[in-house]
Amino acid sequence: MALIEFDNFSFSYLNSDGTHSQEKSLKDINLEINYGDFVLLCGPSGCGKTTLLTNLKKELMPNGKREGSIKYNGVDIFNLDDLSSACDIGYLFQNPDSQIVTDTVIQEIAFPLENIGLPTEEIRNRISEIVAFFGINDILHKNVNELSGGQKQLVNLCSLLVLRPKVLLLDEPMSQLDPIASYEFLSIVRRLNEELSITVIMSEHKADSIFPFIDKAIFLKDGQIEFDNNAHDICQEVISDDVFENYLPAVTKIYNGLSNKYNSSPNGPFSNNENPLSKLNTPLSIREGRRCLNIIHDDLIKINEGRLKNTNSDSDNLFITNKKYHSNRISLKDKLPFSNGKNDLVKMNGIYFAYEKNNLILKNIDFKLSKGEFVSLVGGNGVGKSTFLQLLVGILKPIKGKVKYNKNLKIAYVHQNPMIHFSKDTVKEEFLESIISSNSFSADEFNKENYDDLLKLDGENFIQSKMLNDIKFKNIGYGFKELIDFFGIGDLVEKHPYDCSGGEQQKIVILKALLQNTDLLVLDEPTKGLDPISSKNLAEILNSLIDNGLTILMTSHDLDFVANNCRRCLMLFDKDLQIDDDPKVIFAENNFYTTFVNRMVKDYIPEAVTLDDVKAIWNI
Amino acid sequence: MELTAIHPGVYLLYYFIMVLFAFIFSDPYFVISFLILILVLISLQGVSSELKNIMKFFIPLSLLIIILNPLLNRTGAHKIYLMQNFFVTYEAIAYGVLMSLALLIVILVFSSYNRSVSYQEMLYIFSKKLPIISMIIVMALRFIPLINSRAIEVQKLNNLKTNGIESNLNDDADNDNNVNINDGDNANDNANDNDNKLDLEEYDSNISSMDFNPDSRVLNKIKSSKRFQKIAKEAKVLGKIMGITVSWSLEESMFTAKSMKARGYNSNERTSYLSFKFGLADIIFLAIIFITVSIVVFGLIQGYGIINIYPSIDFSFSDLPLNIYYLAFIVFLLPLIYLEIRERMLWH
Amino acid sequence: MAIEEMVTNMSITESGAATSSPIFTITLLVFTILLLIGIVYFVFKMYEQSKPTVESIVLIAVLTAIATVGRLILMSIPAVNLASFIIIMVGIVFGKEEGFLVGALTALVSGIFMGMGYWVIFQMLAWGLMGASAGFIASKFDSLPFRFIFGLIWGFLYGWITDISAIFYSGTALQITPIIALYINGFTYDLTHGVTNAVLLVVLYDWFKKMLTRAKVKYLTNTSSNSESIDLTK
Repeated sequence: MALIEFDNFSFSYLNSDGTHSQEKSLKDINLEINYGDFVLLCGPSGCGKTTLLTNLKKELMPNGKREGSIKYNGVDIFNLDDLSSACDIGYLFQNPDSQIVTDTVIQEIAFPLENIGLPTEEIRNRISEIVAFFGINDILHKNVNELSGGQKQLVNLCSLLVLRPKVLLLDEPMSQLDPIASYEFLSIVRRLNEELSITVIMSEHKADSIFPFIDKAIFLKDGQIEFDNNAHDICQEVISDDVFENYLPAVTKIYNGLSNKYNSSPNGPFSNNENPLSKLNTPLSIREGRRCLNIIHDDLIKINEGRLKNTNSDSDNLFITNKKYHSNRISLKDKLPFSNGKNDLVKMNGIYFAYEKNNLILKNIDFKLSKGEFVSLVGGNGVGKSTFLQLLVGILKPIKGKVKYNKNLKIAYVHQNPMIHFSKDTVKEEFLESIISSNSFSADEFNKENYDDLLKLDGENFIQSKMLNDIKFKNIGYGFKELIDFFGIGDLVEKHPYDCSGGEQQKIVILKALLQNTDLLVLDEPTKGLDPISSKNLAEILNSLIDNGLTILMTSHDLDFVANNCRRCLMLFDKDLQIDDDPKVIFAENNFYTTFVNRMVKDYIPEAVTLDDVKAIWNI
Repeated sequence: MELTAIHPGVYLLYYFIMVLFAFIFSDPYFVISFLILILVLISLQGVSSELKNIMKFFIPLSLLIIILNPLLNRTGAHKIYLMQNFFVTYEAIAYGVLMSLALLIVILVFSSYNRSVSYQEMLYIFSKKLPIISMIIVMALRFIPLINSRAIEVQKLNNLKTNGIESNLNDDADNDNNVNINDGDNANDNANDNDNKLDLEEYDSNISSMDFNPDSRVLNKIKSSKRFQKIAKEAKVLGKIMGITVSWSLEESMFTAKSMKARGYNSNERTSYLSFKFGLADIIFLAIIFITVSIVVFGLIQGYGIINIYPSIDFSFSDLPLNIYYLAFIVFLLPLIYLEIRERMLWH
Repeated sequence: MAIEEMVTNMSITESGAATSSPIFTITLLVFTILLLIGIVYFVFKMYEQSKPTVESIVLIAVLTAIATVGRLILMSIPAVNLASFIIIMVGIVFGKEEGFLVGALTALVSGIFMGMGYWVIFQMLAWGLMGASAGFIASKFDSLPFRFIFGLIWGFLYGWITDISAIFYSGTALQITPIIALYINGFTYDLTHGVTNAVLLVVLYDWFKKMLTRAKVKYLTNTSSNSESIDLTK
């Protein structure tokens, strides 16, 4: 018998006026999850992942209309008694901060045990057990606000585990964590699944590192299950689906490209009679991927040789060396106004910064930012990336050193938490606020009546209003309506900003920043928590803004995003800007801190950093 | 104190009696002994930063009491003439000093209490009777640093200039126009400078446009005064920071409620992971408290430890309080000092 | 000399009190403190017995934390604290019970941060009453002069209530001196406090009312259908 069984389950939310929404958030879900399964739940924002997960937890069930049934261990979820629902099914939320209830780690772990009324002895036994299992003795008596995001999420997980759950529901648990913390978290979840056979249902956008060990992937779209299969097979099924293809690991995409090539072109370098790759399962991890490449090693070497023959007239080296790559970079540099002093927007000279004495965060930093650049700042967690940005935009003051700006430079800064930028009741008011603060209107053409009139307009008319569309935004080249359409947030303008999803909020704050008629857009972690498609859209938007003359500086943990889009990459390490170069050069040289694609193909084409690089070079 | 475990309930009783004693005793020998012993205890326990904060408020207060009492209070047999017709009384001065000393002792007792009993222990006692309220307190303690860090972030953002930065990096360093924006002026000033520019706040419908009631002339007057406008402007900046922090925190805490429900809060009677056993040390401590307090109270009834100040002070320093009541009072104050000293010796 | 006379009069009335026995003062003190603890305990117990929803509990905790931060964040500027404003707003939007709870708990929690003392019980009462009184006359707050005066008055009332704590500083008698000393010591403090409240209530009332009302609605609708939901507003 399956552990969890969805039988023709549909759900529609209760509207705020008490009527049932016509639109079903979940439609005809039929699903079986077996004891000990590791299930990955994917789908674009708003597809119903969270609705599906919360419907599995009696305490969190949203108000609304339910059809069909969900059974847990043969019992309808509704009929589970309070205690077993609380204990058997654990639910972990996205944001590590907002779920912590008490102020010390030990209290937090004890919290659920106190709730279910266990005697003190038993509570202490269970805590000691979990502390030993995770080795978190050092932080046991710490205050929770001294912990890093990853540690907080670990404490949250421990706080579920002391109840000895059979099922863990994880709702994008790693979306707020940096990559290292994500790996650690993931490895723990995997351990729980393998060693204790806890059933895990996890929703996540960046699935590269999860695919290798899942039993089942479920791809949701518009409240319906589009695909539901084991990892290997689902990769084959969705490879041509333009939405879900984005969720597949890079390894799988490369494999599919190569495999297709064997099938489609019997001649040329892939001249074997049969596809050597078809014998293998679809690779999901780098290890499996490398094994595939090894099988066709000779063919790949052949391609490489052929490629070098065509292109290496200017170089004697057999492989494209770093040296050659560097010369490429210079030509790239010449295209951009790097060295031209007139185009410098911001100059940092010998910046030192510390929050407290004797604990320098940044040390002697020199940095120059020129017009039209798309710069990204990468580096480990807590090296001071956000601090660097805040110093650059002037909201923190350096202890020593100067930040100089071009005359009348307008900077727009987007904090990593979009919530911080909202203070109005509707998204359109937020937009108006930004426009006003930029002085795009002159005082005589804009007054309080105009403001009120504009606010009275409903969504569509607001977007179309002449007044707003007449504004010219320098460096952007789009009108107000075009911008809104570009971001695809036309139907949000009437909403309260807090009622928008995380991805939508991210877009709103970036648009708000652009409406300030800015020269320089500074973004702190804009890719955090975005689903792959939103991330792709964002890249497109930013690139077109760059083409129109905007300058962008952003931090990111998403190396693929950086490699694909940015033209200059800074790496912050040990209080200083360690590397300042083209991202492709940096990642081609790196061995560990690089993209999945690069790790996969490093032995054959070390300079290929993105999927597009590989596709271009291997012609797949 | 780490090497002796004393039940928080015992502490509570002990400190409560101490506070009462601080109010009751007025005999300078008792008061000064009390002060000395409590100072010894605090120096053993370590001075906390809170104490310094509270002292900032109470030192001027006690000085005021010492000065004001003789000025306002002319009763007392011993007159001290400062000027021809102007006198203060010896009793009034003594009264003011004793009052201030009592005040000081109470503060010190509470400071020591805060050292001895952690708030977790206090909440443990509290949670038996008021489980929900103590849960609220624990949660509030967790939220405070979180909200504080949010407020700092919001405040930082408020420093950002969106109206263009008036400096030129290509100018020479000796040029006066070359202003480093980090050289002092902050956003609040900047907002005031841009008078010719469109002021965002004028169109701000959320932050109340100050439509005063036309009937109230007084308020209109206040409104037009420059000082009020400046305060109002500062209040708006402060308010904006506070408003964003508040709405953000309220929004996020919705998840806190969910996470509590998900972990079974409200499903059963709550227990505690903490347990305090009533040990031998507690019994000895209680016995000491009981015996000494009985003796002291018996003495109090007979008038030991209390002096009459008005109309004439009936105290002389030569009356040494060599009696069992004074002794019991001292013994009552000693147990914690003994434990602290013994702990120090054990560590060495 | 009029002042001289007044002072003498004062000392005469006072000397009557001065002769009263110390036991009387102690009893009065203990009685007052126990009474206050009783009042606060009663309100707390009432809240406990109303079986509040998890949402209501979290809401009170958050609002208490916000008010406490409002007090701690400006600790360097004496008397200017945002806590009173928040507590008044909570009373207006959420009702008198919530107002009292948030007020009393703010005093208690900031006591944990700034040092616990018996004066905390007086602060709890003062802030609790501040929140509750705002809840009682919530409907009147849309009038601007009313808000201004309410804020100003509570600046002084708060000061006076908390100053009661210091009246018992000596065991011998109830004296007029400490009261006067305290009120002189506290006058500028209370005035600043009152003006801060008044200005904040004038300037920020609409925005905060909207914001808190939204939170209230959202918390109410988020209460799960199957759990026994108790109206937060009652």
